[in-house]
Amino acid sequence: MHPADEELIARYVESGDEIAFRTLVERHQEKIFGYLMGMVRDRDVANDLFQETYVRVIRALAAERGSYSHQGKWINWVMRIARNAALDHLRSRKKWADVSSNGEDGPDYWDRLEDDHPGADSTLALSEDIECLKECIEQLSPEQREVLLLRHESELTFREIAELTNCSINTALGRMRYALLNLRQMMSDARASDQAAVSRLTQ
Amino acid sequence: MNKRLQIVNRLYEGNDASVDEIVNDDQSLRQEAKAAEEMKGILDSQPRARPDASVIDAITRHAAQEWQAAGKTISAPVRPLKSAAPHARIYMFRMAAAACAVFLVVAVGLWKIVPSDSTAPVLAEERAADVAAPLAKSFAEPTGRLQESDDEALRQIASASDSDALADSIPSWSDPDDLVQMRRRVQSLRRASTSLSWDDSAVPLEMMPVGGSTSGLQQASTTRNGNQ
Repeated sequence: MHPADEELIARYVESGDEIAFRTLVERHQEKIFGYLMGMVRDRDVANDLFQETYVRVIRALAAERGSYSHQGKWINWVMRIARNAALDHLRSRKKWADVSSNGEDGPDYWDRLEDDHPGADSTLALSEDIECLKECIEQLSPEQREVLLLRHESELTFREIAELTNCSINTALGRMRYALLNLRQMMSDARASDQAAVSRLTQ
Repeated sequence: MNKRLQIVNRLYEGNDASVDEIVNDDQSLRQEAKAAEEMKGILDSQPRARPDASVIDAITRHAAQEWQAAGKTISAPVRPLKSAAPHARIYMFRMAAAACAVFLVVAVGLWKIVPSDSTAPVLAEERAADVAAPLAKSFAEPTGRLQESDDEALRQIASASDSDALADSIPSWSDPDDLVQMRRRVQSLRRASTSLSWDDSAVPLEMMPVGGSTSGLQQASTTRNGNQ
């Protein structure tokens, strides 16, 4: 039986148990690092942001020593700090504002898809092409990409995502829906492009 | 909630079974649900990324430093994780047993060593003097070969009293009463043999001088005649 997050936090805050804190960091490392990695697409930067996240966490715990009031929401609390660190980084790189929004207010992407798309089945063959998938995720709008990362990497519920990103659950669900459909379309296009290039070479 | 959003919610949260009937009745919804499910499967198959181990180490060190900087010292874990507690108890028990064994060895060693260095010679000399005094007194007037053997014994005891070897020659458990009894026995033998000489011929027992009614032997006939 593993100790709960709150028990590990209490050990660190009350007695300085660094082993407990390390256990806590390792327990959620994939959720937080996966989100950061998806946001910045650079391993070194993601490592820096991961460290920066926990520097802020430690600082906040020191400020709130003895009065930690985030019972049961440790990962949500850390994810909020990680998100702020990522947004600070993106703002400093002026990437966040340069990406055009393609949120739920835009045209329904699904309506523009052909039901009998010739490459639909073959697109699924790209499932093992991890690099292609990552490139497609990077091309998503920031809002869609963030919801997708928070759901798949950080394993947050849509309610938690809505709270974290200050939007409604419907908005979070809508962004997720567009993210899935757009990803599918982009991968299908990439597959079709590859096939066209191969056919040109063979002719 | 929008039906299409319900599909996503059902796909990830799995808490709205009524969506299944709606999707089955609508072909476009069914295709969308299928496409979303396939895409979700692809995303789920992605390998999970982890930070470098050095980053975890740096964070842990920073956490310890920050906690110390807050005015407290880092203590041992209040409750060791997993099965560390039983191992710690076994380790402490072994350490205590080893400490006890070392203490016993040191104590016995000191008990053996310290007396031989300081008090042992003094005690040995005193003991030898106590033993030699009555023996020398009892052997003050020796006669014949017995006198020679007694002198030899006295010389050995006297020489031994000057050395540490005396401590070994006289066991620590010896009781002076034994020596006194032995001395009395030697004295009684000496008194009984003062009139004898090693060069004299053998004397029958009945010819031995009788000093009292109970000492020496008498002929049975004389005793019988006397009684008659």
